Formats: sequence, C-alpha cells, structure tokens
Amino acid sequence: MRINLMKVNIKSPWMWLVIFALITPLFSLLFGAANLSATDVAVCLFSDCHDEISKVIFWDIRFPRVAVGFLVGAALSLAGATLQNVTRNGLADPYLFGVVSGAGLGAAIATVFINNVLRVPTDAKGEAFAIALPLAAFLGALLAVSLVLILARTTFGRKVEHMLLAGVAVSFMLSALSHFILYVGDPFAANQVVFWLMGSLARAEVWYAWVMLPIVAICMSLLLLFGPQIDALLLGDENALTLGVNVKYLRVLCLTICAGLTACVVAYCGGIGFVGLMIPHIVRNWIGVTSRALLLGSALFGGIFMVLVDVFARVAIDGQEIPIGIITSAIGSVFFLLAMKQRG
Amino acid sequence: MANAPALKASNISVKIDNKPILNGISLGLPAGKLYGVLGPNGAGKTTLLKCLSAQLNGKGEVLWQGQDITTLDIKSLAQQVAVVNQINDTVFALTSQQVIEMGLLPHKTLLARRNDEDEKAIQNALNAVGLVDKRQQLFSALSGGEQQRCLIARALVQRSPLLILDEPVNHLDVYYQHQILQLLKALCRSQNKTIVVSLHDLTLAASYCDELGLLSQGNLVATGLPKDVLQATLLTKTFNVPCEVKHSQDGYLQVNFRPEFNAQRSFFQGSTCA
Repeated sequence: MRINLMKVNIKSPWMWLVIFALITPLFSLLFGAANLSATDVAVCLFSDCHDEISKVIFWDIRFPRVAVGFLVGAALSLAGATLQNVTRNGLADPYLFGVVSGAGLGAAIATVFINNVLRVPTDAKGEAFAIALPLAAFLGALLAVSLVLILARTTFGRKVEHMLLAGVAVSFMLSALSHFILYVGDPFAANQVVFWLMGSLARAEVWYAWVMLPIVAICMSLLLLFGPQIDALLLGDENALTLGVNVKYLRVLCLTICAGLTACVVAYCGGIGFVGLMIPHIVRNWIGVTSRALLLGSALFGGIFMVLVDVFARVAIDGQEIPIGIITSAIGSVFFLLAMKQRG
Repeated sequence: MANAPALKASNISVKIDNKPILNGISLGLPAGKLYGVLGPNGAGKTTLLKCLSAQLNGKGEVLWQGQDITTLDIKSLAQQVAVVNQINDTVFALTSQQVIEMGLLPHKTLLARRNDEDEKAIQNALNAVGLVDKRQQLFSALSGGEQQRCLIARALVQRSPLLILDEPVNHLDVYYQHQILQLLKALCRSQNKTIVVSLHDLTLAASYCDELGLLSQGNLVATGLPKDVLQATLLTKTFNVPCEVKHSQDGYLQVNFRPEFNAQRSFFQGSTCA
C-alpha cells in the first residue's frame, strides 16, 4: 500500500496527536536522575543495554514510568471525557465526581486489610497488592458511582446536570473515610495518606502497565462502540430516549467503565487530579464534541500530557522529584477557574 | 379497512403528583393525516403527545398500527415514532449536521457505518427544511426557528411513519411557520406519514391540519374536522377570551380572539365569557 504524502493534511489534529503520542514517550525516556544518553536509550530500546546498571535504570525505572504515565493520562482523560458527555457537564471529572475518592477508599481498605488483618509477609505483599488493590479500588469506585446516582436521584431532583454536586459531596465523604481508615489502621498512615493525596508515578513497575493496558483498551473500545449513543445524550435524556437509546442502562454502563478506568489509576498511582477535566475540555475545543473523536483525542492527548508532566516532575528540582499530582492539580485548578470564567 | 385509525388512543388518563392532567382521552387518526392538538397553556397538550409517543405511560391504551406502543422496545419504538420535543438544549457545540445525523441512530447497529442511503436521507432532510447552507454551523448559533427546522430534519432522517411534534412552529417567523406546516402536510400526502402536532395558532391549524383535537383542563372537548372543532362558542369557553371564527369563500377558517369585545369584564381574572 503506497501512502500518498501529498494527501497528508498537516492541519489535521490527528496527524499531530499521533506524531506526538509516538515521539513524547521516546523523548521522555531521556530524562531522569541517572544520566542515560540518547544512544544508551536507543540501544536499550532496540537491542541489549551496554551494562547491567543501564538495563536496570531503563527497564525497571524509566520505561515502566513512561508507559504507566501514558496509560494513566489516557485512562483519566477517557474517564473525564465520558463523564462530561454522559452528564452533559463540561466540568465533570473523575476527581470531582467522587470516583477517585471511592477508588482511594477501596485501596485504603485493601491496604489496611492486607497489612493488619491478613498480616501478609513482606515478600508476598507484592502479589497480594497486585490483585487486591485494583479490585478493591474498582469496588470503591463503583460504590462512589452508586452513591452519586442515588443522591442525584433522591436529593437533587433527578437532574443529570446536578450529578456533579452529588459527586462533590460523595468525594468529600469517601475521602474523609479513607483517610480515617488509613490513620487508624496503618502505622505508616501518614505516608499512605500523602501518597493518595499527591498521586505519583514514582513507584511504577512494568507489571502495572501490563495490568492497565488491557483495562484501558477494553474500556476505550466499549466507549467507542457506544459513541453515537453517548452523543445522543448531549441532546438531553428525553431526546435520546426518542432516538432509541436506553438512557438508564447506557449511563450506568458508562459510569461503571469510568469507575474501572479510574480504579486502575488510583490503585497504583494515587489520586491525580484535574487531568480528566482539562484534557477533554481542550480536545473538545480543538477536535470536536462527538464522543468517538473526543474519546480518541482525549486518550492520545492525555497520554502525551501526563508523560510531559512527569518529565517536568523529574527535572524541575535538581535531585528531587515533585509528586505528579501536585503539578496536575496546580495546572488544573487554574484551568478550572478559566473554564468557569468562560462558561460564566 | 381503509379508514381504520393507524393511531388509536383509548381512555388515556394521567395524574402527576395526584393532580389529574389528562382525563380519559380517546382519539383515532387514520394514516397519512395531519392531526393538530389545540388548547390553552396547561390543558395537557404536551402530556398527551408524550403519551402518544410512549414517553409517558398513563392509564389507557395507545395503539399504533394495532400494536400497543408501550410493548415496543426502545429501538423499535424509535423506528416507528419520531419526536420533536418542545425544549431542546445542547450543552456542547454540536453542528446542525451532527444533530440531524442522530436521526440515523434507531436504524443502526453499534458497529454499522454510514452509507450512501444515509447521506441521501440527510441531504434530503436538509433540503426539505432549507438548512443546506447551515449544515456545518453550530446548533447553538442557529436562531430559534432554524433550531426547530434542524430538529424536524432529524425527525425526517429517522424515517418513522409516525411523527409527533410539540409546538414545532413556536419560534418561527410567519414564512417558516407556513413552510414547516406545508412540509408536514406534504409528508403526510407523499410518504403517508401520520403526524400529530400541537399548535397555538388556531388559524394556522385550520389551514393545514386534516383533523383537530381541542383540549381543555385535561379533557378532549372536541375532535374532528377543523370546521367542526373551531366553533366560536367552544373556543371562547376554552380559551376564556372572546373569539370569532370567519369562514372565507374558498373554505378557509380564520380565528380571531378579540378581548375588547368584553372589556368591561376582566377575563384575565378568570371570569367566564360568552
């Protein structure tokens, strides 16, 4: 198959997104505490590393971090884009919607249970956490979604636009609970709480990426499949129903998928705020509002954004690393205010 | 039976918060007819249309082509009934074409792609409502009338034999009021569509609708041909405003409400006029 280069549209946002999605992770592999030259990185990537130290640095530290970072950005952006379209609220995001707090609560309970109740030996904790953490986080996220749906229905007059208010309430409620559980149940509670609050890619391991990749891929495929139906929700529930969309089931399905996406991020990397708010917002203005374009664009742009933020987190302060959640929250809060101003 | 009603409602009653909104409405409409639902604000027009399109389940039965519409699954229902609701707001910047394309949804599986027939249906609908040059414009940037026409185009793309439109000419200027109703009437004639529409302009209703139904406080007080429904006494009583109905020589009816007829009585406070 011959590609006609003359037909490549350089104004197409898709072309730039794909190019940056390929280049940014490679570029980010060059940065870190240890000195690895571009040649070292290229050799490690396409052949065997020169020495054992380079191998460990590249394959055990840098590569997992970049891969997990890209998947985290993609997952949070997908969840944010979906939440915004199904709730018809451009300010919806897994953080504000309470899903992150729910997943955090699940992860906190699993942490305390494995450490204090089961008293799993240190050498077996890795395996125990690998299974228990994402599962508990998913259940916690589902709990949050269920609470939001119930609250929105009973307290906020069934208006889907008011779901975000219910989400904020649930978010505070579940955060308080998870911090309390960690504080009471874990001798290293302060560290754990700080980890959840800040969010970090510092502990990323290769198997995180192998767990996250299928989850993100399956969730994204499902969301793309239902894209046109999600679009119908943009016209309001009443209109979507008259177009043959089963609004109730579609919304529950989408929220469950968002719970899954958020849970796999929170379980391994803590609460990383505002990515799910910012990225879909930018992509919507740049590429379009229909779900399939928005979801694909958000996944790519979210991945790129998170990888770049992680580079900044590693190099901004010499010899130290800033937790990535601090940077995303700092950028996101300003963005949130700007978005509010634009709406206002 | 050529004249058997395609759409038949029997004894429809609806209560919301224990307040009766519709009281035992029964009506029948043959295929290929344009039926106008009239009545003052709060008479139950929107509720009746919601019952006829199965958006609301009241007591009683609504049959479409002999089948109870509440037994149809959501997708089959959308293939049979297209609805243009009164309130339509979009929060994100959808273009007119994207809104119109949504009419294809009931006919598509999750993996189906758009084909030439779909493109043709969209183009025909855009032509029919006169929005060809606005297809790439944002829906939210269209005027009220253009938005209404865009939603009618979406209903046309839906290709359903029954169309239900709640006050479709509300935001339109006189030219487009006539254009839309002409279009709806033409659809009845050329495609044998059955169309139910709620209207406020009684003269317009008389000009275009084959049959009318007049609602008052949840009761169907008259139904039938325009000349039978649009009676001055009945309208005066229903709308609580003095009214006269003029018959032109070419068969047209003109309904005029004239509050000054009875200026000494304050009909705005609900007194009975005759």
